[in-house]
Amino acid sequence: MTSTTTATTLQIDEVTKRYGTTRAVDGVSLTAGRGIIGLLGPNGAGKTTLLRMVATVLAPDAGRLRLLDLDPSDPLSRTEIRRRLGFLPQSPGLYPGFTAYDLVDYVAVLKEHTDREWRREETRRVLESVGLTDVMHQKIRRLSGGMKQRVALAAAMVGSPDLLVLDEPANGLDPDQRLQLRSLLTQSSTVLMSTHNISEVGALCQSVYVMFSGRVRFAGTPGELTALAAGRVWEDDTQDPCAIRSWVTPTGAFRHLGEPPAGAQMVDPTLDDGYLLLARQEHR
Amino acid sequence: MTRTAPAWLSPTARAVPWQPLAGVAVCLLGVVALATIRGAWPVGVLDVAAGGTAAAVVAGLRDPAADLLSAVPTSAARRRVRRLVLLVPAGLAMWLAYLAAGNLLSPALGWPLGPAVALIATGCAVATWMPDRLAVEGGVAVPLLWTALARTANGLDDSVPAVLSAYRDHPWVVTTAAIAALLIGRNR
Repeated sequence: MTSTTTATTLQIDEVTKRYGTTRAVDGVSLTAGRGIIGLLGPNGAGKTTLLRMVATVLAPDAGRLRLLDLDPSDPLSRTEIRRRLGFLPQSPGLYPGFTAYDLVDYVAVLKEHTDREWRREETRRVLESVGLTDVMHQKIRRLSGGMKQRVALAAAMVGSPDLLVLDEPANGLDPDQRLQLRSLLTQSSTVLMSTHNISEVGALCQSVYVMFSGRVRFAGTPGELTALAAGRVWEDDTQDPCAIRSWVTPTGAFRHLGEPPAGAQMVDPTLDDGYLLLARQEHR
Repeated sequence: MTRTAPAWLSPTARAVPWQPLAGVAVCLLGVVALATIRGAWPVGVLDVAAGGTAAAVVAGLRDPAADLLSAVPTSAARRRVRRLVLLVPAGLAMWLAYLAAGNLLSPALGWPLGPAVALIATGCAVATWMPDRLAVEGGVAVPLLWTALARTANGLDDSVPAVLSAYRDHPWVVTTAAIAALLIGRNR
């Protein structure tokens, strides 16, 4: 794949994970160094399972993982990886009776940061970086959904981990907070994140992987994903039955994906067009 | 671990859900109050009380933030042990207080600590070995079911299968087996 990264932080070779007879992740390979890698795909595509394997929470049934140049199947290496890793799960539960500060400080304790003064400064730093300075001493039960998400994000970022694994980090965030998240992630070293927000991938990620049914169906840059739809997007006042996908735009025109008819009014593709085309091809 | 003990102790104590133990404590207080009013100790409640106490201790292992903490270097097993360091003494203290009250009314009661310890250890072992999503529920259910089955079987027939009363008749054997299971599953 094309990548702007240098040293390899994350190497996944033919990794498979089964639940019963279902292959949630089926022979996935991925390599990444510094930068932000986006994982796209519909619900049930295997993104969360893949992220949980990269976060060392799940062990693969087959294939090989190498994280931060260490083998997570070895218990000692796994602990070392976890010292240098931050993980935000899809639906992070929190302790409602804790304050945001208490929770992040507790995570720092569990990340083996024993220096109280260092923890105090680091906890304040990460809470400030996610914009929670004003509410850091409020009980979590009193915080909004978006604030809780940012508390969990702050917990994942304690100690400036070398590898951040984020499962839908923008969940519950308003547009302003999403922008804040973007600037935050661009300062991080290696980030592997899943999202349903395609524009986020375009704005943030140096590389993107698209998964369907447990397999990677596309690996490349956001520009390359967009280019998949080049010459295959057109607009018209009426719906074209030959299009493989059509929808009404805010201007009232129909936007079509597929093989354009002669004389069609072609338009520039977007990242969404590339993804939707890939998704439709997958389901045909 | 010794160096970080002061750091983990307070947040762990706050993260533990104490409501189940508090709830059982209220129930045991109610039993003591009723027994005092009647002037007789209800011996038949002892098993149920032991099962409830053990279940409440195991319920303290429930961790709503388990997913968020699943990739920290302090393993789930170590976090579980830290919780038990707080929960088991609290549960046993509650149980001893209950027995002390019982001995005031009925000295023949004695100090049956073993069954409660056996049930707590078994519940913890089950919670360690069950799949994550059902771990605490399974661990809570076992002492309750075990004592309920033992009592039911006891009322029906004299030839109660030995396994049903093992926590009562051989509590330290059960405890040893459960602790062995806990140790074997320490990395789970």
